[in-house]
Amino acid sequence: MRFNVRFAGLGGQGIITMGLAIGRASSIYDKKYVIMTEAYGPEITGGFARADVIISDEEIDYPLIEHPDILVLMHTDGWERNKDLVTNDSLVIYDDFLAKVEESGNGQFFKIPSFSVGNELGRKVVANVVMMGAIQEITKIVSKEALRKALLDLVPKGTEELNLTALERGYEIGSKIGGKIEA
Amino acid sequence: MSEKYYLGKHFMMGNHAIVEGALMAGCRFFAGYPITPASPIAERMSWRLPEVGGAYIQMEDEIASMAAIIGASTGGVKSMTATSGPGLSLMLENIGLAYMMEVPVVIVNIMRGGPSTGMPTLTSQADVMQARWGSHGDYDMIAYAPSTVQEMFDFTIKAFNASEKYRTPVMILGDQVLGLMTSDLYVPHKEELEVIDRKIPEDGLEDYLMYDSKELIPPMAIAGMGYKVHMTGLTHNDKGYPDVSVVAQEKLMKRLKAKFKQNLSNIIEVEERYTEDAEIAVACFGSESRSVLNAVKKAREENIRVGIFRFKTIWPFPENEILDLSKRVSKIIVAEVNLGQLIHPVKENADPDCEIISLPHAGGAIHKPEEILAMIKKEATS
Repeated sequence: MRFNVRFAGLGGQGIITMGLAIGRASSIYDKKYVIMTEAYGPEITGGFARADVIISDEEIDYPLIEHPDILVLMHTDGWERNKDLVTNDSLVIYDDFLAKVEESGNGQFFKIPSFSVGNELGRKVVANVVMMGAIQEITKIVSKEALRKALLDLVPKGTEELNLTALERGYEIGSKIGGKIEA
Repeated sequence: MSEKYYLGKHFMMGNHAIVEGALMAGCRFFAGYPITPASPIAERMSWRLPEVGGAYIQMEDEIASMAAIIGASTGGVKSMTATSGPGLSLMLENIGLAYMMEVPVVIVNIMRGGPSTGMPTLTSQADVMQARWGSHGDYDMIAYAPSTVQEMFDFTIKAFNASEKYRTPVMILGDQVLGLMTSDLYVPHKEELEVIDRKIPEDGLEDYLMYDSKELIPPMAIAGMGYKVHMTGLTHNDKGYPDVSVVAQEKLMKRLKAKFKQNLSNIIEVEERYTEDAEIAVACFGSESRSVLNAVKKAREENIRVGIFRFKTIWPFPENEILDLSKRVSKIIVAEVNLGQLIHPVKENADPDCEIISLPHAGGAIHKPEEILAMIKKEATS
């Protein structure tokens, strides 16, 4: 089983962090083979940002993603750059406020209010964590236990509670949508 | 000073794995100048070195960085720098100095698209020849070519060991794909690893010579031990004093060359997979070899007898290994992310009856597996 996951958005949204958290969870705690590659524009914030994560039961040779099985979008820019890669088997999971996505043609689409929920929690920056919770519920590419541990490894001291709350909210949103994918 | 290592399983960036490998090998000094895509090496070194009792310095440029690690190494501290194409160009003169003065240092080149500033954020394997021939004069280079995050760690230790053992600069040729890739890494206990330290002379020898020509690799006195030594880039005698003469040049150059020639089998490492019954072999190294492996596996599913020959060390060139391979297969495809560099020594050393085919890539990405597979299929049917 192999999943190709692409996270796309803008620098500053925690795109690379999403790749690192889900990659770390799968590698260290779920004990899968994982490769993450990253790409971003030269701007400190606001340029394009992308993290590609391959999660596999077997050793990974070619380390790059041609077609994502799962495309996670935190901004319209990510959709513009990747919409041609979406196939009938792709899952497109996107923020319903920040990413304008035309839900026609290929793929299965999931709208997640990650930014709004982040806002509700008082810190917009946890939108990516809400999104990760939703991704977990919808795709099951990573276990909850592993994701929680990996997240706690990565977030700054003093923000653990906020991040875990954001993750829980993501789980709630995702579980209402449901839809475990079959690889 | 306590030494802090992060043992066990990690999900780590390739560039960072190089740092952990270097520290494990005993590296305690880094001088560098930031450059994409090698900067994460310097960044991690800047906080990791103090944790193990070492020192980090950001220099004014790459020329000075190379000079600083040579100086630190003569002081007995294992030293490293890291850069990418344009920075390596600036280091070349002093790499020659390290070779001539026989100072162990490790240089990491995380290759990016060139020439000139080229493509800072995108990959390439176009510095293969520069690694070997970039500095002037007759010299040799040992160059390791890792292809996974784990090998970034493992080969860095090998690079330090080789530089210490042979008293010579050693290069690690990574690239942007590997440097900025995050993947599985296992860091073992130091006791489980082979770490080689340079030979130093005993204290108080009356007849110690820094460049004793009776030895293939003379023990290296450390600055401060009390020995009076002289080190220079000029052709020198056994004491290290300049001796710009035909006789001294021949004596010195031949000994330096012999350090490599007599140790080829200890230095050279290659890997073959699926070559037992292969009619075609794809020769490759680094990140590109991962794409090749994918293509070879797919070709095997279609019963094409193809295998992979991977250079784990590129320099010194594995002449005998290529000759041996070329006698077993009828064709060798050389897949590389440049417009045809490594194909030249492959051609030069292969059996004339073996056909050598170039699969070049102008850079910015490694080949897609289907591009390599298409070439394999074409050659299998022609």
